[in-house]
Amino acid sequence: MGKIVWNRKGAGPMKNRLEAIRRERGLTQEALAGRLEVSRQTVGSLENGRYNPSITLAFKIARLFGLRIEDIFIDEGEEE
Amino acid sequence: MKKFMKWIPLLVLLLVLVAVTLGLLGISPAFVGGFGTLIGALIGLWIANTVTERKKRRDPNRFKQQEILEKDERHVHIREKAGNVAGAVTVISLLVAVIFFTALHHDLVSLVILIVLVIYFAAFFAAQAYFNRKM
Repeated sequence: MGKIVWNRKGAGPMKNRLEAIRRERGLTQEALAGRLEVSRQTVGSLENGRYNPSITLAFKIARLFGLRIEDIFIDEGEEE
Repeated sequence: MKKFMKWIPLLVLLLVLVAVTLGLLGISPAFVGGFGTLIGALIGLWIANTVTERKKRRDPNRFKQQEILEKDERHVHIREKAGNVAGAVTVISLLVAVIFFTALHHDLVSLVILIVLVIYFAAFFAAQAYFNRKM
């Protein structure tokens, strides 16, 4: 179900499918950033796994796509 | 903040009156000068706020974009991290300065820097205790 990106830095490794989901919905990074009221760079960093979102932003993303947080962000421990 | 801004001109007027009175009473010019600095800072704050409000009214969309960028959580996080690094560098620099001035026997300068460091650490621990209770 699309490319999975590993978080390289931050509190802990976290995978996410944000880019794949965004592309599925036909949204550009700018458009997604506008909907989430964050900068385009933030969306880019999230997609590249360089930045872990706050719980508030994670909920906002999940609500926007009509998914659960764990459908978008996958904790490494959870995977094991 | 908006409510405070409304009162700034009145506050400035009050401070000017206090400064003039102190000047007439022959109080230390340095003390009166301190009032001048405070008045200048308040006027600066008022001008900055007025300019921001005007920009907001002129181009609300652009202003909203700027506000999003400012409040963007990643940017806030970056600012915090940069602040932490700058704080650590400042403390190390001040410690080096203390050693340097002590070696040159400028004890008063060393003492002033040490007091600044003590205030820094006191503020740090006080803030830590406050956020420990609050969060």
